[in-house]
Amino acid sequence: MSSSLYSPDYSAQTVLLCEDSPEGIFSAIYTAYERKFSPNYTKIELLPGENYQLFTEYITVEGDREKAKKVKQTIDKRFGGLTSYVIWCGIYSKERDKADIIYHTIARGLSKKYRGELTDFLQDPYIMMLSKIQKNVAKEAHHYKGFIRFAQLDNGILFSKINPKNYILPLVVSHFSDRFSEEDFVIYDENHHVCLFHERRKESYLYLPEKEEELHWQKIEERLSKEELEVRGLFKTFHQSIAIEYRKNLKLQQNLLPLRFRGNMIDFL
Amino acid sequence: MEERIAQSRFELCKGKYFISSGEEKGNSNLSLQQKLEILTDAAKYDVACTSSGINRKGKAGALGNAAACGICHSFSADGRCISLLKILMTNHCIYDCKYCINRCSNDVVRTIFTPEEIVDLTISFYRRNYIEGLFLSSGIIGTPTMTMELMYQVIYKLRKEEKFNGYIHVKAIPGADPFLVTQMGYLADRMSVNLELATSEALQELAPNKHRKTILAPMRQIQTGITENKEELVLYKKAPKFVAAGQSTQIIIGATPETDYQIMQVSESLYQKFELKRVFYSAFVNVNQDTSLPSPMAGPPLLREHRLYQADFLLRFYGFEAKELLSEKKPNFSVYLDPKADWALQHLELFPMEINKVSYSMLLRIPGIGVTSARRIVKARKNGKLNFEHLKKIGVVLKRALYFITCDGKMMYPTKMEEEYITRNLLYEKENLPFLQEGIQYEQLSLFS
Repeated sequence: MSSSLYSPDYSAQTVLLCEDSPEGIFSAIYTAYERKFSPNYTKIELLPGENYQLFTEYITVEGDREKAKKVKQTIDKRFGGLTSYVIWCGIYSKERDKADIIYHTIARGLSKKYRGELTDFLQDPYIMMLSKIQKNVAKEAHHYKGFIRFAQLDNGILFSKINPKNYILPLVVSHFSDRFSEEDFVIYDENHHVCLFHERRKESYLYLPEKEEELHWQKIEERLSKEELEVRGLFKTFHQSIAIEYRKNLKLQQNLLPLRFRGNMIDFL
Repeated sequence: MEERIAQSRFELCKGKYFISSGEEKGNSNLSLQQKLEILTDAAKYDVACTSSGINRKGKAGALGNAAACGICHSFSADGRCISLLKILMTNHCIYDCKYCINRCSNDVVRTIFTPEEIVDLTISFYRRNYIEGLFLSSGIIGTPTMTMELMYQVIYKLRKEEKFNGYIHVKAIPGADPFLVTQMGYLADRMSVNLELATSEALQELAPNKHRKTILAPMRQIQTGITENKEELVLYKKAPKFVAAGQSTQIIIGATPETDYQIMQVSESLYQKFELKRVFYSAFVNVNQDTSLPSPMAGPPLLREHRLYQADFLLRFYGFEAKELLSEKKPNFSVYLDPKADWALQHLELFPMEINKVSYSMLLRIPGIGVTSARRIVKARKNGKLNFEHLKKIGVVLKRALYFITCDGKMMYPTKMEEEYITRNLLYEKENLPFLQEGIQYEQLSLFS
């Protein structure tokens, strides 16, 4: 994220380093409060940390389930649904400075300086930043609701591979499990090495696959049945015939459906 | 049993029509792929293809749900969103509308989908997340009632037998038995009847078989149905829903010489009197090379279509009325300025507006400030006075707004409140149009004539 958007008018004197997971980030926030660090002189960075600075104390915080849980409860209790949704989106973001932004947003909220929904105070640079990264995550998740393409495997399972920038799977779970509750499906996020499993009429869950499983999935395209390829052919026919020649506008198409999504979409293969 | 009767009726209709037209020969061996190609191509000029307006959760044993915001699944080469499987049931048609590629006097390959084919396509596309649902339209085969009956069979099969719970948008065929329209309404999410042309004279000229009255009748029927259904739902929560996502229509732009003012007045009355969810505008493409219609060489009037959509949004979300934007004296939108900026320049006495004071509805009238920005301003100013720096921070784009606003009594730069001065500055900032990028030309008009 460009530093011009927010330039802290202080240099941090303590930097907490944590791993890039909800548990890690929440534990770091817990530690900052536990040790009574002032938010004005504290920063949280994701491991392995940014450029090291002079006159700064670096503390590495281990992820701790209990601590993280307490922070989560505080967020739910103090901020209400919308703000906690925004914070969660922030946690799933690809941005490296998300931990710091979330920490300072929470600090603002707990300082009782603002009344009403915390996310409305966009004048505050941290809240504005959080709102920006949240939009980016939510937008990508919404895109994937439409752009995910399933392939039916021989055993009837629907399989999809995606390459999102942000960690969006948790944000699309409810959509897809509701829509395809009667199906068995897998959505495999190649970038974050995680996948979403859904078994017919059961709860969905996220699963961290083994290396071999991932290799197996990456080659799944080569083993599709003839029927599956036929359905794809039909959709490609539809996709091509629906365009109006007189209105052809590839640039507009690319603005609305950026190239990075197309690698996994059969519409363009 | 009911289904068997329906099925035999389908064969009967098909047989009757084909015997009378004698066209079955030679086309019967079209593959599914060819049929899909023909019937997609024939449906593509219909623009009313959104999947929005209804939130519906999935059901046990059923496939699919619906999201009110609408979901785009892909974009075609013309940059339009693909969310529904948009097809005609058949491109056979007894009508001879001059603008339509499927008119009966055209020599094109004709074909018809069987209900099973449409159902299979929809389900197999939907399961793979290619589409959000089905958009079914049709040419008129036999009679309007017969056509509607065939379409009803498709939708019935899809909803009741295959338990398809995704989005369905169906055209109501003007002139069909009202009973069928009602039955269809309980299965479809959205229905639409195309108004086709803004005035009844134009309709008479280009579509001699269609009449304004027969088009408005099903529209009124659906509206009444929706209103009654709402009352029913108040009394009994589980009453079946009727056209829950509302109805829409489309108007062809640029085939006949109506003015923008006439079109906007028609849209306004459709929103007010018929409670439509959307009116879509379709820039006319002379697909038939018909000599009595505008030449296809000039390309479709995309800029005009764009301006109409902008004005349409002003009607629906910004509290404008058609007569504020245009008048008998100024019947068309400006080529250079969007309708809102144009309006503001005609009403400079209202500006500059004080961001910290004016009401939400007035904020919406400032060029460059949309619904999102106006909402943010209203929320943010509760916490203290806003200045230009704050506005930038909360994401309000000042490029165009700065000529029309003050913050705490001050303007951003010294600005003359003169029409010509501001116009010049607004034109200097190039408008962000979706289509000029490809170099489509449009007619130049003189702005200050």
